[in-house]
Amino acid sequence: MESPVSASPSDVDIPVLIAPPATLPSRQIQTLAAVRASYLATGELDPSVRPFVAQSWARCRAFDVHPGMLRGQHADAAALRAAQSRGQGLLSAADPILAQVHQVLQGQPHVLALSDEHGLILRVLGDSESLGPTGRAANIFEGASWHERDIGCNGIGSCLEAGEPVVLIGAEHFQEAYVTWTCIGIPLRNRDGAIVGALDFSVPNETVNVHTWGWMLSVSRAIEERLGANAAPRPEVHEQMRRPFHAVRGILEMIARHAAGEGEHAREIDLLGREVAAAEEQFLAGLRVLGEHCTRLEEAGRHKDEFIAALGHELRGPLFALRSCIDLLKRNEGDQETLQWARKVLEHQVTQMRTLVDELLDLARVEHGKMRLNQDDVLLPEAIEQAVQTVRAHAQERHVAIEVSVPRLKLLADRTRLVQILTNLLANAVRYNRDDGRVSVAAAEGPDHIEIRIADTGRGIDREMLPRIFDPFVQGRGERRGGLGIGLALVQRLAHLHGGTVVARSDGEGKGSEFILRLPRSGHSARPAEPTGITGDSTA
Amino acid sequence: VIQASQIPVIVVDDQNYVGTILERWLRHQPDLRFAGWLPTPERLEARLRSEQEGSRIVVVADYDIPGYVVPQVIARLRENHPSVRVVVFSGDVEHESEVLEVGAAACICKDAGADELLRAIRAAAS
Repeated sequence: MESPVSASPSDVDIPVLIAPPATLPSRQIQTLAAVRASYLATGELDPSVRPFVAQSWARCRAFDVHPGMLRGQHADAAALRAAQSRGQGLLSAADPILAQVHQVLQGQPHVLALSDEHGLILRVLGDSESLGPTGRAANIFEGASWHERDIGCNGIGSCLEAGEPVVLIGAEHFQEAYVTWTCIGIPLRNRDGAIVGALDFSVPNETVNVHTWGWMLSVSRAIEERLGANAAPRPEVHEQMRRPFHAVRGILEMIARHAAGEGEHAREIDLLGREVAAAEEQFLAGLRVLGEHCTRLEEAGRHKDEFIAALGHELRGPLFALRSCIDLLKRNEGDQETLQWARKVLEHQVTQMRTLVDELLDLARVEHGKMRLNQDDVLLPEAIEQAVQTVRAHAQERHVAIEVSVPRLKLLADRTRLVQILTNLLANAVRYNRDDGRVSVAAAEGPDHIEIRIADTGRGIDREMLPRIFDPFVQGRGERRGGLGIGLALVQRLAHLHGGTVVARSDGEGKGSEFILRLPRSGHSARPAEPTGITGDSTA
Repeated sequence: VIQASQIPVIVVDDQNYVGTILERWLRHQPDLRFAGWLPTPERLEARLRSEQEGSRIVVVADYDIPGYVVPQVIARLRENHPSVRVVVFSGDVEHESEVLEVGAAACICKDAGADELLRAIRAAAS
């Protein structure tokens, strides 16, 4: 497993907890010792992990195995909906990052679970086999609660209990086999340091190495950063809103002092105190939700300002061209060559402005669910050729070669929209390429989809920018992305509308980038994909 | 015909119509010469080397070129080619102080029109 961020063992301080096999009695040190010895002896783990395991032995402990654990039994749809609503800030911070990690791990067994602070699982991503009805992780599902599950292999419960990241090396009998999975559980904290959720990353032991831990820590930090940015608490407002509760508590304490020794009154006052504390907790939770909404509104406002500035810039270009053409036509009245040149420039500018307006309207249509696809069998090479034709002139100006190597595959797609997706991706690959660079287009057939890869030799995508690359109206800092920032947003939404996905990859600055588009194969019914937000990664 | 006394003007702008418009603006200026358009600053240094040594070259550059931080480009250019002058020709002049600080001779808004740009080019080269 390669990772965008790696950490050496010395950078990572995670207690490793070895879970007992579920079928054996827990709370038996002998069992733990046997499991530990087995791990250290069989060599199933990466050798670099072994000293880590040995050192952390002092911190090992036994777990209870919940006797009532039943797969899928405890899903509570109403509780899930309520928790997802409460955890909207956490979900919006984590979803793009989890989707990114999930994409990186495609083809490998893995499970990613996100829970709220109580351990209720809000989001699960993973490979279909592991999550399937007979899969290893069938008991990890949205709505499940960690304490109803086998805690022996539960990173969420363990890290919430420990209040710090944990690695569980689990071993249990499953489907007549002795399977070993590693779960990394990491509590997620807000800017105040309060735990607001937990992340569980489960993979078979053989795919884990020490970098995985560093990687998952960096993933959790990325979520926390987004969480902090999304829900920046306002300490002064927070404190101000708590004042009435402080006052009520003060009054209760005063009454309690007066009523000292009067048993019945003391109990009532104590009860009142608890009610006030509970009300305060609820009030603060509401305040946090309100704060998240405010921050989202502020962010939307910032995006709107950025968008207006970018729109102004985009319109200035064509206006400059129109004004200059008129000026030159006045100065060279009757000059046929100038007339022809001006006509060409004006035609091009009108086309550019029409494209700009069309893309804005398309994005609005998709966002409001008003875009309808007219899907049919489309020959991929023909669609690609059409897109290449559109960007060819610009590529020639930049001496960028476009190499297409695509078999005659058929897609189930709306031809116009498919060409629009491909044109946008190719135009970006040319625009952000180096002069004399290369764009390669390749395609391969999957069981139910076609995968199209568009790679360039350009500047690559900054790691910080990568998770936001498909956000509409977002511009990078420092260097300009160019345009309004709607092209890739539209690409992603159109891909989703087709029941497909698009992923951006880059190894960083100067190392080019690659966009991987997956669309349904001809003969497969398209089902719109979950709008999972951004799916980008930065691994090779 | 290239005259030695003419000031070569190289245009760097990601939009090629800007290059064609400036070419026409410069066409009838006896003291100025359109010396090429580049979509990015990538080949600028090579282009500068191809100009006659000792020429008072003026580079007219856009501020917004996707993938580039133009003030950095200007700073590097001024360091490597101190005799080359840069006039920023941009959609707006909100970055004027930033580009002047790193060594640009002027910052002209695209709205200003041909005469103002030509004046700025001559002033930069003088």
